[in-house]
Formats: sequence, C-alpha cells, structure tokens
Amino acid sequence: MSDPVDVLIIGAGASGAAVAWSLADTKMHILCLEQGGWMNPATYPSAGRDWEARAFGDYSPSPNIRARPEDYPINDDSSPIKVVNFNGVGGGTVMYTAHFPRLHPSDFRVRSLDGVADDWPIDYDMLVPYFEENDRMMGVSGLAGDPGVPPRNPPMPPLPLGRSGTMLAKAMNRLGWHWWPSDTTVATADYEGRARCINLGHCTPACAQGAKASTDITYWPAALRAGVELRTHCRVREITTNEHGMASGVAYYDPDGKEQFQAAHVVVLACNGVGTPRLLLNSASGRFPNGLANSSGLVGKNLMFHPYAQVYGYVAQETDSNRAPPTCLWSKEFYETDRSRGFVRGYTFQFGRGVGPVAEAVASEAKGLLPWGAGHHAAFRRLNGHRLGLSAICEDLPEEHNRVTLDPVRKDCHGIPAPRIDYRIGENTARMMEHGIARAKDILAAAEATDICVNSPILYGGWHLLGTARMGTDPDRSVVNEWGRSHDVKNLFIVDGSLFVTSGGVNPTSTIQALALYVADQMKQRLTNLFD
Amino acid sequence: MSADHPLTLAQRDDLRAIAAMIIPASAQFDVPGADDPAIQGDILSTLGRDTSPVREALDLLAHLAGQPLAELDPTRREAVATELRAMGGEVMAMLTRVGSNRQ
Repeated sequence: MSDPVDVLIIGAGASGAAVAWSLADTKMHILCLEQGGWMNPATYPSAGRDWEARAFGDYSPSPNIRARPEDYPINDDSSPIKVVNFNGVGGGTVMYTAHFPRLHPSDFRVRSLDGVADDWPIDYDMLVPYFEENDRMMGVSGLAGDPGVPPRNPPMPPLPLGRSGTMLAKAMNRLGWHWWPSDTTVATADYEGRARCINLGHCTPACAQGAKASTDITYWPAALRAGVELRTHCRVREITTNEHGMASGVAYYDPDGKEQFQAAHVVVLACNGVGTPRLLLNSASGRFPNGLANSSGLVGKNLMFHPYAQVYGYVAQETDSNRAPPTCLWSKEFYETDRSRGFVRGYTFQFGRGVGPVAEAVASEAKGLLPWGAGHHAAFRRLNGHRLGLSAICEDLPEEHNRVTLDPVRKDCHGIPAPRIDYRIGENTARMMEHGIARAKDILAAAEATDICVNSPILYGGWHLLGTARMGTDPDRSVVNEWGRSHDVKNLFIVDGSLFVTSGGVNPTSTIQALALYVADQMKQRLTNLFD
Repeated sequence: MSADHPLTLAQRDDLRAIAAMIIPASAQFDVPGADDPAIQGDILSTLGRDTSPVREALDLLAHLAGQPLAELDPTRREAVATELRAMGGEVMAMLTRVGSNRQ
C-alpha cells in the first residue's frame, strides 16, 4: 500500500502536462503516470535520411501500425476513419502538425444558434485567459488582426507564407475569400530555450530540432521544476473506488510489468478521447457495473473526429513540398452556419505546403498519376515538389452511435482490454465535406493546379478524439460538470478532449489545453470544498 | 533466405525485376534504375519491419506469374505487373514505397 498522493494525473500529453503545471503552484504532492517514456529527439525520423519510410513504420501516426510497446491496439475496423495518436511524454503533441487555432465563440452555442447538438456549459470568453496562458506556455507564432477569429496576440511572428502559401493566398484573393497565416506552435524566434525553426521540414512525425512545441519540452520541464513527479512506462489498468464511491487510487503496471497500487485523494484523467473512456469502462466494478462515472450511460458515446476532406493538385511552379512546417494558412470563409449551403455549422480550410518524395510516389502511384517504366522519371519530376493542397476540417456533430467500447478480444501487452471504435460520418458532415471539396477545387483552379485528387475522408485522419465524456450541468446528459468533475465520483476529474460537447471545425489542441488550465483553476479555487 | 539475406534468392530476383519495371534506368535523366545493385543492396539492408509484408508481396507476385517473375519474358512480365497494379491495395503501396524511398 503506497502513501496517497494528493493528485494523481493519468497521461502526460497535451492536457496532462498543462493541468500538472497549473496545479503545481498549490504545492500539493502531484504524481503523473504515463504509459510511454521520455522521447529522444536524436532518434526522431527527421534526424535521418529515411524519415519518410519511418512515418509508415515505427513513427506511423497509427498505433496499430507503429505498435511500440507503449502503444495499445485499437479496433477501428468499423470506422472509415482510423484513430491516430502518440503515447509517450508529450502525447499527441509529439506527432501533430502544430496547427493551433482555437474554437470559435459560436462553437459553444450550437443548440442556441443552429438548433443542433447541445450548448456547452461554458463559453469562449471564460476560456480566453487560459487560451492566452497556453499560447505563452506552448509558444505560438501567428499574426494578430485576423478578422475571421476573435482578437489574440501570438507571442511570435507567423511562419513565412513560403512558395506554397503565396500561391494559395493569391488564389484566395482572386476568389475574394478569407485567408490568414496560421497560428502554429512552431517557434519563429528563439523562445523559452527553444531555437527558431530552421526548416528541417517534415515536422509532423516529431521535431528533432525542438522548434515545434510538444509538452515534453514546454510544460513538463516547468512542472518538474515546480515539484511534480512523473513516472514513465507506467500503464494504468483501472481506477479503484472505496466504500464511499470515491476514487481511491489506481492499479497500474510498473516498468517491470509488475502490478502496483497508488493511492490518491484526487484522480485526473488526461488520456484523450479514446483512452479516457477506455479506462473508465475498464474500471467497472460491483459499485459501478457500467463503468466508472457512467450513470448517464454516455461514457464512450458521442465520439467526434473532424472528418477531413483533402483536395490537392499540381502546379507548374515549385512548391515548398516538405521543406518547411506542413501548414501555412487557414481560411474561415465557410466556418459559420449558412443554411443555403445545405448544412449547419462549417469548416476551416487548412492549407498545406506539400509532401516529400516518398509520400508523393506512393500517393501518385495509387491515384494513377505516376506510370511505371519509361515515363516514370518525367512524370515524377512533374509531380514531386509541385503539389498544392488543402483540407476542410469539418465539424462533426455528436451522435451517440459513434462510440468507444471495450473490444471483447483484443488486449494490450498487459492484458488490458483494447478500445473498439464504431463510427460513421453523419449526413450533415457528409454534405459539409462535399461542399468543402467543391470549394477546394475552386481554389485549386484559381491557383491553376491540374490533376486534382481527393481523399475524403482521410483514412488515417482520426487525429482529433473528442466528446466521449462530455461536460454539462445535467448529470443525465453529461459525464462531468461544468468544471470537469465527474457527476458520480466527486474526486475524479477529466481534462482531455473527451470533455468536448461539440467539436467545432478546428484542430483542437489549443482548446484542449485551455480547458485543462481552466479545470485546474476551478480546482484551485475550490480546494477547501472540492468534493462538495 | 539466410541471416545475411532477409529474402530468398528467388525473392531477391523478383524484387529486382519488379523494381526495374517500376523505375528503370534513364539516360535522359542520368539516373540508375531501382534494379541497380547498390540500390538493391540498400533496400535489402533496410527492409527492417517491412520484411514480412515485402515477402508476402513477392510471394503474391510469384503466384500471379506462376513461376519466378524474373524468369518470365518481358511481355508476360508486363501482363503480371498490370494484373498486380489492378489489384492495388497494401501490396502495391508496399512495393512502391520500398522502391521509392531511394528516389
């Protein structure tokens, strides 16, 4: 029996790091258990010449392909979009594009504005201080003044538009449509010990230089200096409860595979929108037969992904391809509801710079653009380094049949049941994707691109794992309350993407981390009556 | 197949044959084909976790050919390659990627 810690956080990724850092100033004993280890940037794909090949292997975004010991399998056979994630200190921020938009104010009020889904129990303005704090901690580069989003002041200047961004921006100008340099967490100036990006490129499967913010190099060093304890290679099997219906601690496997118990006064889940419901469902007991914190029956339900509709083509001029961070612009032209389009809510356009030669060869072969034999070399030279593309990040509305459950067969290396995903794209989202594809083709036509290709949805595009333990004021319609505490278990908190009531149409990391900081602040304000 | 070679001799011959069909040498662009010995050596030495699916892909190729692909005449070889390409999927992606990583 271990001595209890004050706060036990499960997961050291985007939200776990943020909540650990924020709670550290309470001087409580805070422990984080992470199933993966510390990453070594010297071994990242971008440090070697075979970086693209490794993105199909040990640095695949899919845990099923990557299959590191730190990963757990996910049965996503019943989903047209496959789950992608990363397990280790830094979590998904190790392997993300670093595109860093925020949810919009309207995203918190979709029931009131559009009559669909539910309103959030909080609003954008409540999160603004936490967005700003998170922008400072992660180090955001961007350009103030965007008329398409609420005011914000990124601490670093934006990434250069580059060749690709300039071509795309000119195309948008021809159409008269909104565009703006993207907010990213790629450093464009020396920032808090991080050197500015030197365009190693291909930074999505981890940045060897450390210019891209991942929480192992942003929040965690600060949290550790403040006294937080982080134990790596410790995989939690279940959250235990006591006779009062409170969380008593966790059973976990240590780095040697031995089962351990860690007692805690407060447990915080930060395992993402698949890992968190998996753990809650695996924590079923006689006291909580349907899984922990699941009196609503909503744990695991309402999974939202953001289906991506990707469209690209080829231009005569050279693009940036892989020689820079992957994103450059965003557009909010089609973000807010316009019912004349045939759907409610909307999407962000995320513009890319291009891809590397292996990705180009594999994709072009599959699309029938790249011949074998005598014509191969000329065709490859016309395609490689000439791609211009963009994706519509479509808002996914919550639907209970889209869900995470426990797979009856598959287990991880510790014998813990794996998650199973059942998901299909909703009608509203499907219409939105078709609209996005049509407008993207307009944009590429304005850029004089040819050989237009479409990937809709992007198969390995389940980056954003949202909605499976939603927040709300009604215990029958939500898993946690308006400040992240379980309705059922008064010392259990959730801080990851599971909290999302609706998905918005943006990459969610900025909002996930702002929510984690918000929940931490709510906890700190209530320390004397946290369990009332 | 041996400790030094992750593929059998027949599989290596077929890999070299299919690689030459995908990316032949080009005098116009002054580049070797993917069947160049140095490139083949690099492919074999770095197969790593791709070894098993590459073996499966080559076995499928030999199955379609009815004998080692490398032993077919050019016309028949082309027909087998066309059949393989029409099948698409993971097998094609694997062979294209293994070869293209040396572009």
